[in-house]
Amino acid sequence: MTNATGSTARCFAQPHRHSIFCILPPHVLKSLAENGSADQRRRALETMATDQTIRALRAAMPAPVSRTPAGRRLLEAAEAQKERLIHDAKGRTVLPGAVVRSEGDNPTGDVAVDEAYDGLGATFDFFWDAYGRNSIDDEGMPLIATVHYDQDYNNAFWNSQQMVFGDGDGQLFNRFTIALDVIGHELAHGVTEDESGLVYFYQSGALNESMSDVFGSLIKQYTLRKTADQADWLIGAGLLGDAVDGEALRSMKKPGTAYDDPVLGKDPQPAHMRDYLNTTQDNGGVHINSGIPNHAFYQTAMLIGGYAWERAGRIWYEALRDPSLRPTTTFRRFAILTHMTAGRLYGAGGSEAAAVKEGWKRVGIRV
Amino acid sequence: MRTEGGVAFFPGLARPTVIDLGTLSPADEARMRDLVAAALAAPPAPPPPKGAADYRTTFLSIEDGGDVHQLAISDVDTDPSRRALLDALGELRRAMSRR
Repeated sequence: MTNATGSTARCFAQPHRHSIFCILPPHVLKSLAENGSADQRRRALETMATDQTIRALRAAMPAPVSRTPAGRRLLEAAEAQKERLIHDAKGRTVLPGAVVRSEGDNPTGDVAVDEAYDGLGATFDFFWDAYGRNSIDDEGMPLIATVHYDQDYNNAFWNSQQMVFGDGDGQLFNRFTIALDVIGHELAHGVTEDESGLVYFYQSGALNESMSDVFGSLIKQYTLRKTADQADWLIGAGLLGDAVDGEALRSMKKPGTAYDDPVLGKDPQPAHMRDYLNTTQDNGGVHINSGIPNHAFYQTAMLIGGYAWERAGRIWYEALRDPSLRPTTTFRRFAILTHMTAGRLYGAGGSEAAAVKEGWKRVGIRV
Repeated sequence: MRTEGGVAFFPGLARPTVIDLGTLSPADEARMRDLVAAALAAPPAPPPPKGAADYRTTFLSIEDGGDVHQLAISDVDTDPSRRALLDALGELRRAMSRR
């Protein structure tokens, strides 16, 4: 074997690291993929695919975000300006599709349309009632959603302008509008982008995901008027099909326990920094390592007690809006910021700041 | 091909899938080859919009004889050639799962 091939073999022994630590040029990989043994071909293709992931991540890295001062909003809305627009993609992938329900319209009888309409309304009401926030941009931005996207589409996403919901395949997944916290999760991505621009990979991406889970869960808790100890702290309860061994997409209370299924695999979320997963998949594990800040929020909310959106949620929300929050913020930096925010809002020696500190400590992060 | 991303990460769904065009009817194989050629010839995809989240990306390693080509197509990619290929692959996967 040549040195290059030998290097390849060592790299393949670390499947989640080879594309970062290996320096084989693409043409060597391509040659291996085309002319190597069956095993070399398979491994070279895996590496090329992972390298492609890294290139995609680099391409996705935005230019540095110029933060707008927190006091930018000169025009404070005196009243909420809720404006919802629900579209139907009719099984295609062209967005936004045809408008099927606008603000103030009566229910259509289409479950997905009406769930999206109601879910957006509940999310808007939560942000307005709990934090005085007027929609995604705090300036009354219309809430736009598309349902019936694609065929058997097992996903929901935020494309930076609107929410998109699939119907699910009816086997692994039900329709993605079924879970209020998932609707809230998608809309909260817009709030996070507006306030902090947390870059969507590695730790800042996992924080971005965690913020959406935190507010998604709080929206459900607020709507159901559940205290922290009464809440289920699940994300996407009811979304998994009946035949799936699992109860939700994620658990903030017990990360890593939401599902364990022959087809979906086992919930990979860690609850502690000692189990942090270094990976290039999933934009650097944004939906995996979000389990750590998710659990820190759960712990904090339980320590504070009562309605989680009132103090724990307020602390996280104000930390997200803090001008010092950088787009590439790490878990620890965000933890420090939440601790400082708790002190600013409720007193440095108060029980809330102590709860925040203890909450992060329980996931292995010291502030 | 393998698909990453989405509102959650499922290890079981992130495993690569192999589609052998040789198992398709001649007409379907020809259609897929045309779609692949068009997607490969399309302009490079721009980065995902800043702030977009939970979108899925499908990574393709296309082997044809001795050639290997790479493609990445995300849910937020609006290029019609790549979207057409992604839609066709979705149809194929659904057909495979029904067998």
